[in-house]
Amino acid sequence: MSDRVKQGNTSTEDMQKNISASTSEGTVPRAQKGTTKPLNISRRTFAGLTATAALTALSGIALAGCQGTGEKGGSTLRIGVASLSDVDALDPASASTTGGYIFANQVFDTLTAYDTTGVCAPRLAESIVQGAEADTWTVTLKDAKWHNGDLVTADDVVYTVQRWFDEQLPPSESLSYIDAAATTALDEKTVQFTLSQKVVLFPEALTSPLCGIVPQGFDPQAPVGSGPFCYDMVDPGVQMVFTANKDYWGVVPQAGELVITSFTDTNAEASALIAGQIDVAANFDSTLVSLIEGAEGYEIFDYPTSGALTWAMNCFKEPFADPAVRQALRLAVDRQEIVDNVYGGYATIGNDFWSPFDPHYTTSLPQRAYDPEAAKKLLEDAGYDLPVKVDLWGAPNQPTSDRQNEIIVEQAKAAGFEIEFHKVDMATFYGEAYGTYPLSLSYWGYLGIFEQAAMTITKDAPYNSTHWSDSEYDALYQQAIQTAGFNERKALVEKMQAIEYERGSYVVPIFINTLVAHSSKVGGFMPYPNTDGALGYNFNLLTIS
Amino acid sequence: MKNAGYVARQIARRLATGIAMLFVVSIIVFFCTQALPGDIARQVLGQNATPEQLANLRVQLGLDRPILVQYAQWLWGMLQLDPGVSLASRTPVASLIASRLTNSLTIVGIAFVFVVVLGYGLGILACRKPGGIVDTVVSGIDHFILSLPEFVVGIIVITLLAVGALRLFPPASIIDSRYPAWQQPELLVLPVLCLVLVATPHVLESIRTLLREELESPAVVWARLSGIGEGRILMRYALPNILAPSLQVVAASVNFLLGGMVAVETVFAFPGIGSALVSAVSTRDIVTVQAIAMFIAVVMVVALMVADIIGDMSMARVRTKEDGQ
Repeated sequence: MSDRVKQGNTSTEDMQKNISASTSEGTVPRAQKGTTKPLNISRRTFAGLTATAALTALSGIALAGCQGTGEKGGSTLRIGVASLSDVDALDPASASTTGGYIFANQVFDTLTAYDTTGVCAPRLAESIVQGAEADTWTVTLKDAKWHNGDLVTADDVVYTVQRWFDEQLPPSESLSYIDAAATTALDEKTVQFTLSQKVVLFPEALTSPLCGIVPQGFDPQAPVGSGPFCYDMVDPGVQMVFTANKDYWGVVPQAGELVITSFTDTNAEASALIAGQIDVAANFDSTLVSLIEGAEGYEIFDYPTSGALTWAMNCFKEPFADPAVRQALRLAVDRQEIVDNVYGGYATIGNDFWSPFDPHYTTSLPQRAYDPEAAKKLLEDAGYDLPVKVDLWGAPNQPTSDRQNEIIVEQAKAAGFEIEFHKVDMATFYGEAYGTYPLSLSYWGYLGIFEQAAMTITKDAPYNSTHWSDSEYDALYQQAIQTAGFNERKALVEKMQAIEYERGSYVVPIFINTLVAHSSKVGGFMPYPNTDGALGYNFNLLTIS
Repeated sequence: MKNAGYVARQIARRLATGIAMLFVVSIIVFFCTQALPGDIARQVLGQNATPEQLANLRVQLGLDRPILVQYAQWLWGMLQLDPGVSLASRTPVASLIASRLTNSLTIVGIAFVFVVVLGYGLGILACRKPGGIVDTVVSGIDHFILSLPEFVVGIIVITLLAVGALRLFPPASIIDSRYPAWQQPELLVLPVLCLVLVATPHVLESIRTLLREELESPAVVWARLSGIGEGRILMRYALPNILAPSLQVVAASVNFLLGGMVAVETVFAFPGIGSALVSAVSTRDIVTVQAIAMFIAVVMVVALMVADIIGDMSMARVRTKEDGQ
């Protein structure tokens, strides 16, 4: 699990006003809507089974659009991930783990999603249009069906939203400004959202996998969705099996069956790939690339993303209360060496602020370089006796975390820091002591500038584990989120990011490429730079020859 | 009659010791898992959980009760063979680990048979000519494997038989969860092989030592002088005499198999109770950790008890013989 929080993001002016289907597909060809039904169970027959979805699933009877597990002819796509967990949720609104996100993205659709260029586009929505002000939004739905053959209606969307608030599920926290009671179905395909405040970036906020739309009367024990794959079987922490939804409104999966297998050891995952036991190794470790390059019939697919492993400097703890020390540590990090040695080149350097795929991202500030002498001078001028001792805490929240922590210990020596690295496991890292470490490595990203600010930077941000607070920054943030014009807002963001650059509390050294190793028989890979996971977990795009 | 009483007393004593041992183990397992830093609520709800949500979940899971009350309720559940409900998936632990248990018992069971056969077979072969080629080779390999940690044995096996020049078996045991493990035999070969490699040397070493001592005993020397052939000496004199102590060794080998299981399952991504234990520790699903740890402890204690009781009974036989003289 990571400390990333999936929420909305930002986008360009016209996107906020009116996102229509014409922009929705990006470079992904939209398949013909399901014209064939491999297994026809009429609605009446289906109702005649009485059947709760649970009974249906248990009895092994295929749902309307789902390729039956016993059916032959469809191929199986086998994907290895690191790793599934016993806590993976089958309810999209409760997803908090890699497995939970994978499950949500196969079985359910969100109203909007980031596309292959990192821009927000409609998914289950045909369009999402702002009302007179940004406190009302009208969503028109695509012609989509649930896995049991029923139509996806506006009432289902209203049910989903009300369920978040009735059951106090996580989206009710992150989307607390939705007035659930006043959100209504205008007709079978149209929903009107009413918000308690203006939110110009509302479509982006709906991209989180937690916001997957569920049918009325949703049963998390036997989940039925509208997504590209139907739920077949989950063995917690071991395996997930899905069957293709042949009636999917979008790109219908070519494989009849999708099997996700968990690996706790990335070496085992690589071995399984080369031995032909899996077709795709998602979230591949860059140190194992040479293994794949030496094997015939296997390839690497990679693309840059906004995901980052960042060092958080705690302003409540010495020595980081002093901005001079924070700046010194930023100068003590050799970013290019991290890209080369920790990531084997599969990363891009960062400049101590987030969200490179956000259209507001500032490119005018000079790239910070490794300058241990300047760092040392900063420390000495501030009156410190060298070396300055620092305690660094880290957990394997990414395969590269330990190596990235080990390298800063070495790099910062030349700048007058003596860093002691305390390596702990994930549960310990995110336990009681989280937020009290003087220096720690956190995994963030896949968020827009405003979400990142709201989550980790502003004074009231719930995950502001550095306890940094800057009234000038907070004022700019408040002004920016209420500014309608893109250019005006971008100018404000430039000032915000300049403050982060000059006196912020995070070292954002690199942005990690998503790395996928796969058999040459598998194709259809697409970059999703603003979405977590291999190709944003859009496994329905993959083809097998 | 006198000996029957002795055996009964010994068995009662062993049982009492076993129960006391399990009670101590239960205290260690329960309180050590409680002491792990970090907790399940954070793992279930993720980093975007508010303190109120975390507190609510802890109440729902009963983690807010006094620790001794939690221990008493847990122990009472264990005595009724109800290990409780998994904190992670909120389903009964028993049903959660049932298929994992079947998988683990499959590989451990198969490995056990091989360990016994190979342990006795190679032990006897090596003793036929002490210092000979067979003896030297067997003891060389034996000591080499004994010096390696289990996971290293796993990696060597994968390198030699799965990903190197010889790609005879799949390197990962991706068991299709919809079918029992024994229906997917090709995926069991390497984990079983590793378990056999890890546990056999312990049995083999003991059998060799026992046999060698026996073959140097006055009775065997006398038999040899009487012109009785080596084969007959082995089968008629030596083997029957080491049977009871060697069965103790065999029972103890269960412990090596269970210990090796945790490492081997992790290396091969094999879905058994060993890997379930590792993942339950990482998610702080302490109810599942406690259930699996106690299960392994019970099996180990029972195996040791059986070994001790076999020993007691053979002692009783010796006493009978002595009494009869």
